[in-house]
Amino acid sequence: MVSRELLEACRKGDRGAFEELVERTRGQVYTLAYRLVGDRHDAEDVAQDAYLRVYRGLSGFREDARFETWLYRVVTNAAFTHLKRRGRFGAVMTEDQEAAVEVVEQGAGPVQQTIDRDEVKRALEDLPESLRTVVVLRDVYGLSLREIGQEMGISEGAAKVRLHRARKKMKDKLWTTT
Amino acid sequence: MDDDLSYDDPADLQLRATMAALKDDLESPPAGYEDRLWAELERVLWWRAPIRRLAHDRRAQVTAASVGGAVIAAVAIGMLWRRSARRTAVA
Repeated sequence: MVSRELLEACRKGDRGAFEELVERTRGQVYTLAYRLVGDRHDAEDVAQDAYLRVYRGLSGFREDARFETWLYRVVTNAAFTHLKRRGRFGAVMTEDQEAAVEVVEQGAGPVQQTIDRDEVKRALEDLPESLRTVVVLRDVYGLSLREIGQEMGISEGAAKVRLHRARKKMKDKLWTTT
Repeated sequence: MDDDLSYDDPADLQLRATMAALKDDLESPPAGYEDRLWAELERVLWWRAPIRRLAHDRRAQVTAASVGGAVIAAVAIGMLWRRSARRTAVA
């Protein structure tokens, strides 16, 4: 996706190199931002903020890490900052309440119909931010619960509870509407 | 242990696969997104680029050190000259 040479050129202040980096990654950055904040215009603000953070933070990026992973973390941080600023984050439950929730997974029941991608996207968009962010980072981008907890400033247990709740809500919505 | 989605249940398998596929399913940004993004980067970042470039350029660093050294030397010589001129005037 982004070569080491391109990153080195960006670090040295090569404007053309940074433009190329933005060109190569803007689709992924916008998509992750949109999946996390659930609004097209907010996603645009998050993407802009993320690129400013990338430019300022490139000197601290370790060569042995994967750039894509680091970029996703930067976008995630920018999205969380945005959501916190808007007061739309973590409002579903306090961490203590979440820890007290008994996670009981109910069987989804027999599936009569198949679901398509657009239905899953709509189900994701309908989730509250605090649940959507967890399920997107875990099930779409493959972050561990520990990493998600660190990014969101919550415990691993709280992230796990949110993940269960998000998946359950999605399954309820998908299997009842299909 | 976070994996409460089953590998046996067809519903869970479907959800798992569809969610994973979303990573490569890029969303279309609103019209004018790219123009606004470039304008913002232009406004906030690009004035810093020459400074950053100088900071990474070895020849620029040597030049800056030479110029800085020359300025310090000139100031020191000037102060010595001024002091000796004052002494001469007092005498």
